Amino acid sequence: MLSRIKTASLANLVTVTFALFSLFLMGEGVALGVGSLSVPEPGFFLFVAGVFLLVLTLAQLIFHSRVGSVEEDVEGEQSLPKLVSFVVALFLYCFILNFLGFLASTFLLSAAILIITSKMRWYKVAWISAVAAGFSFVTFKIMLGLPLPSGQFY
Amino acid sequence: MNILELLAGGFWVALQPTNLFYGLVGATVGTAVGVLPGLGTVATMALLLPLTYYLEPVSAVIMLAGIFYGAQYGGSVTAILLKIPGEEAAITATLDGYQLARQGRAGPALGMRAFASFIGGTLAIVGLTVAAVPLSEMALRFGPPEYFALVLLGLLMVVYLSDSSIMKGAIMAFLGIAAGTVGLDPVLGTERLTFGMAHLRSGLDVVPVAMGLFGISEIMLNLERPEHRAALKGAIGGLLPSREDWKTCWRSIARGSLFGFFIGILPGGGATISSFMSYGLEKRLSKTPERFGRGAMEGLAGPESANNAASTSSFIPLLTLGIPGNLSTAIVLVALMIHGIQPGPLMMAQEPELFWGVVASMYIGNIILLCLNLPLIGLWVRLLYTPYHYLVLLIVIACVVGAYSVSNSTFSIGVMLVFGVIGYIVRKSGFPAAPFLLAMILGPMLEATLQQSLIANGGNLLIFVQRPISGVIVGFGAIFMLVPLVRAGFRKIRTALPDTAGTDSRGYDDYSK
Repeated sequence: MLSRIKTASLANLVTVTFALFSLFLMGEGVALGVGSLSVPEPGFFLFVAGVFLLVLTLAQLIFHSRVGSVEEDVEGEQSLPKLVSFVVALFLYCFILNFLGFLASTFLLSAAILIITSKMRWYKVAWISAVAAGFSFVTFKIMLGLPLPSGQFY
Repeated sequence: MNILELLAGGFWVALQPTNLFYGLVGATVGTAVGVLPGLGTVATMALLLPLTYYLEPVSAVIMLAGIFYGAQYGGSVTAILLKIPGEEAAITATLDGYQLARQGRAGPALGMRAFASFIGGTLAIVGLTVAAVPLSEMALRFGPPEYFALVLLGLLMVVYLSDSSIMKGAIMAFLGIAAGTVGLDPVLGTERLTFGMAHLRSGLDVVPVAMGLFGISEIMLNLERPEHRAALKGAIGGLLPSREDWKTCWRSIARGSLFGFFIGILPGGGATISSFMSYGLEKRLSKTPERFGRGAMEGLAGPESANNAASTSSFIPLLTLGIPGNLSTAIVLVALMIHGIQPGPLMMAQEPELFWGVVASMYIGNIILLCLNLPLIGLWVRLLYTPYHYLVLLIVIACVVGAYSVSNSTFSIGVMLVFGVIGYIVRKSGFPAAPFLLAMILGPMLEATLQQSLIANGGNLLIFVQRPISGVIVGFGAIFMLVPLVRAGFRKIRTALPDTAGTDSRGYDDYSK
């Protein structure tokens, strides 16, 4: 639960993740071949970036990590369902876009966003979503001619 | 041809109806972006980048440049009226601008902001016009070591000046460099960090990454905060500053313009840092520094002219050296590269219409912005009260359309979403996102110039300090990095000494620790 994690702990967790990623970069660099200074190979730059990243993340963890009580992120905790719903809505949009088409998928995405971010009644959500989807369809697909997917329902 | 003839040719290009239209679109969108808190310049430029595929290169750059400097104009409207800076560079406007508004002088404050921005921006364009030719000629002498040193300096400065700790900024820069290596190796064509995905063979696209890091993550951060917009009560009133205002401000505007121009040229230097430095300078030079923060008009005028001058002059390293000094100009670089144009010292000779057309469009853009910002101020103020859920809707639809049109596939929307979540987590942890994106854009150039320099000089790393120009640039970067370390060391030594611990250099007790 992201928002339950204290801010300082989150920063430490992120730094540790970056440190692990730096090891992965170094490994990838070695696997691709590092070469030498006079004849660098494809993994050279990755390896060097990994080494610097590892040094920096370790320095960050040693010298700058704060341990102790930090206030809970109350606002973050309250808004967690909103954040998760927002990400899930966009994630689902990726899957339905090609199947349903731009118009229908954008209508559904707009409705989801309005439900997540406002306290509108369902009929208001429906017509604003319809206007948003229709307007973006006309602007991007018809006027600007962007090749947006048509799917089953445009 | 002399500069005036070249500039006249540029005006002919910029005054073409299509270019004029896109200049107007850019300036209007930029002002709106600046006015609306929560929608950043970089995200908007990235958002509109896919649309530029269908435009002529000159129209594309004119529009993107309009967004960039338009946002600097608009950013201070919210700062003055609501004490919410629309853009980072407008933070200083919250100090005195908001106080002026509270004293019933919102109109003259908004008017002075527009005039100071116009003067700063225009003077910087004059500087750009004059400096472009000699700088391009000098840049022709640059080889891979000089370019490597310049790109490195740009990254160092962005890290150094980022709003987070230097360490966190540097970590993000190296992650960005790693992200820049995704795709095929430029020399041997070996796949790197593609995880077997065909979409990643051509590298990570800047557009979905920028939209995710600055658009989607911004929405997620804003969803956490309750909507809070305390409207300033009362009419704005007349916009024209009084003669007394001009008398107190003209020196500040002149200083701010000059200062902003030079800060903007430096890699990593930009609108935000120049406005802060200008504010500090004005306060230091003032005979009545106690008025600052309580409604001093010169505390608003100086930084406003400085941030607009810096935005304009930040195009100098891009157009003459081909190296963007900040994220916004990096997006312009991407737009040019999409059209197969490599900005740099040869651009002036190879693409004179584009180069001088963009320069001339900046003169016109400043006039458009003055017209947009003075008579239409009421419209911008009304825009402020747009409920945030409508803005979210607008931003998300524009983001998904923009991301999709990069590759005509939902893969780019997925990339945008992934970087949106990553951006949210890292920004929440205090890691700045700007060094990541700039490093991702500059990473391939850094790698190519490093490899070329090393191969050509038998792996001799000293080549970067042995050549005079790159040596000076590397030295400059080293000084920038070492000064804070030395100062921190001195501070530690001073606090370690028992008789001076807890006292500052003047001998006063230091309670700020």
